[in-house]
Amino acid sequence: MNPPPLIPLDDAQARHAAESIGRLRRVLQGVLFGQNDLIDLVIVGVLARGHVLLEGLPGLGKTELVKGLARALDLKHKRVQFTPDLLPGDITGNPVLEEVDGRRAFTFQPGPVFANILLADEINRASPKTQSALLEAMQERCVTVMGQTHPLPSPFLVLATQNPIELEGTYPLPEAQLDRFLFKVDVPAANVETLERIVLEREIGIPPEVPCVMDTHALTTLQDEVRRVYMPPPVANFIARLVAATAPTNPLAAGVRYGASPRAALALSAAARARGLCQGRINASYEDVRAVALPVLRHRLVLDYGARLEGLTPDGIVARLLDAVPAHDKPLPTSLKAAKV
Amino acid sequence: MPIDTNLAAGAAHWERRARLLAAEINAGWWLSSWLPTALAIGIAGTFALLWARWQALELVPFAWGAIGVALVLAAVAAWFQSRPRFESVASARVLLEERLGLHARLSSAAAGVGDWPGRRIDLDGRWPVRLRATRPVMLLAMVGAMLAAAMVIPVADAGAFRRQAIEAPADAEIVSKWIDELRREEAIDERSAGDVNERIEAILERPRDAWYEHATLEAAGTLREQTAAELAALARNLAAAERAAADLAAAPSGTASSEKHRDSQALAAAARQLALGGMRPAGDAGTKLGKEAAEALADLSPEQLRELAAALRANRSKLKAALARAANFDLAALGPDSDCEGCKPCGNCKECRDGKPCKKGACAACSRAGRGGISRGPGEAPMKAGKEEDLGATRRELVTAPTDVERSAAGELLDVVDAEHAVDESAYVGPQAGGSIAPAADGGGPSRVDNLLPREQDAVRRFFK
Repeated sequence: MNPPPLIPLDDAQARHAAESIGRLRRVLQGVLFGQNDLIDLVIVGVLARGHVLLEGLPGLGKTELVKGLARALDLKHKRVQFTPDLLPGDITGNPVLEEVDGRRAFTFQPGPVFANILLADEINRASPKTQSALLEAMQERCVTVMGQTHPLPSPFLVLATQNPIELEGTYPLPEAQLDRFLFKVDVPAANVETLERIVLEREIGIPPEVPCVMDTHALTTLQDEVRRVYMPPPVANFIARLVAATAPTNPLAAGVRYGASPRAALALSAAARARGLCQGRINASYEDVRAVALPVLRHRLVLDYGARLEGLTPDGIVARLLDAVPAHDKPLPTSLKAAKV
Repeated sequence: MPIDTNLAAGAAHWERRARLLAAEINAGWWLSSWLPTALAIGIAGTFALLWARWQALELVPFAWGAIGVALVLAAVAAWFQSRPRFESVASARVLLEERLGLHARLSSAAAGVGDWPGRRIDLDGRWPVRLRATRPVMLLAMVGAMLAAAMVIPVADAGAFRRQAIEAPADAEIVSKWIDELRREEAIDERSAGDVNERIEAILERPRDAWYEHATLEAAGTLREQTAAELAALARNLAAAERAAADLAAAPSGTASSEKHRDSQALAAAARQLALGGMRPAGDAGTKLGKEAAEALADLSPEQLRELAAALRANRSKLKAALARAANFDLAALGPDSDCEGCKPCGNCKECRDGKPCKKGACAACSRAGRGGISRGPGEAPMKAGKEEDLGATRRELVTAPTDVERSAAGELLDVVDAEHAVDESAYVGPQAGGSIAPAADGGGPSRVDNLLPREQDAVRRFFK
């Protein structure tokens, strides 16, 4: 049975939500300089109830961003440095034998996953077994230990980082786990102006002051409002055609071994809605889909060996698909041409 | 972009725009489907118009109507053919909102979510599609130009072409016309005309494809030459007979019998030639000559001789008049007129005072080269060696019949004219059979000319093949 349809937002609600989000954005921009796009995507990911995988060099401020986000939202956050000897229990928690009322019994000691925001630093350094311990937490938002399921606090968000330059001693994330991440965001290096501002306004060992601009209830309200952002059928059709175009059978997706899954379509829809709300709109649009398509799809495309040898990247293929798949799916007659607006 | 969301008329405004855009795109699809067909119809119509004009049929208005109907039917068919590609209003709305950067606001508003964008959005220069007018206009112009050209381009008459194509050899046509005119004028007898017509039919019985072959043309040319020669001979024989009859009639009673005998012999010879010639006179002359035996002509009374001379003159005049009407006949070959002024000095012109032949009113024969007539170029002097005196004055030519009559072709010239034959009486000629004609050509002159009929030429060709 389908859930009852949500009541769409009205313009006033959308504008109010956009103002709240704008405040959060400005706070985070004061934490992490020169990474506005990254901040926007992280906010979109939070609002869409998604998990974000950040890929970038050390020292670019990923951890600071997560800390700042937690403080601005007044959320509980934990940070786990993933290492090869990290065990699943180190993340999920372990049963501990305790004596209660003269009797010895195992009591569950929650791990760091029990937080609103979990920063999984260098997640690809942990063994696959440990990585898979996050699967249930990310997808089901609960942890099962010794047959007992423990729900995670809400909201729950995993922000994972991975280092692209250290290949030795790393365990690439399996596709199933990658698919759980809403976004994979490349963290670009800071430019000269940003570095100059960092030098002028930051000091080592002294964290920046981050005001709390939103409580948990407000965040949950915003996440609920994202669900009420209207998804017009033409935009949904655009998402469907875009995801379908990643299939290896599509000539446009030459070099792709495995295309995006239906979960990718859902991720695109949620992210587009969240971005629409960030823009103060009551509906998602084609522009929203295009804006989030790259971080949503890039880690969901598995290329074949030939494509890798040719130097093709998922980013290039997604860019090609975005050029080739129009929002208006019908071709124009030869006697007409599309105007460049 | 400023969006006025409070305008109630926004829905109608944007829906109208979407319908307009859909109609424009649908018209484009319809044009894309119709134009190639229209071009094909234009090409076919062009050829149809050219064909109708070529055939000189009264089909040109019908062709125009058919072209118009075909274009209309093609337009209807193109409409049905392009319908699956037609743009719906909803789809046009998507194109509109995407091109205008309206963030799917039109689709949302159409679904009842949110307000329509305001009408104040400036659409000038931001319409989603642009018309590529060059191709449709060029194609339509091409079709129009082709159809117009089909009406303007000069086209030959196919009927004329066919008539020309089946036209008989020109020489045969000319000879047929001669015979027709001669029969109408009753200048020759029916048997002679029938003989020539049979020969014409023999030529025309050949396959039409062979009418322009060399053999056919040569046969027709030979027929023309032979007929012309026979007609010329007929004219000369009539003139000779007329002169002889007139001389006999005009001879006074005391004329020596030898002179009368010579004139009667000349009349008899002319009558014989007339009877033996390929062309025989018709009417009074033929009747009168036919009645009398050649030997009995001398016994005719002067009155009868005058009547005979008048009949011969009349026949000769008819002959000349008929041939004058029928073109392509050298009238000079008929010899001078008996009443030609060129033969009778007028005494007034310079030629008469200088003692030369008078050219005033001279007939065609008298005006020929060598007779003081106007001539340019090489003239008509025979290109053969011979006596110089033969080139001027009256040409006297001895034409002899072939010795072997069996080998003579039907209608071949068997003509003997009165001529001064310089016979060497002392030369031994051997025994001669009574009535035989011995070939006695002048030095360098033709003694006998064999002309083969077309069927004989074919036989010879087959033999050597």
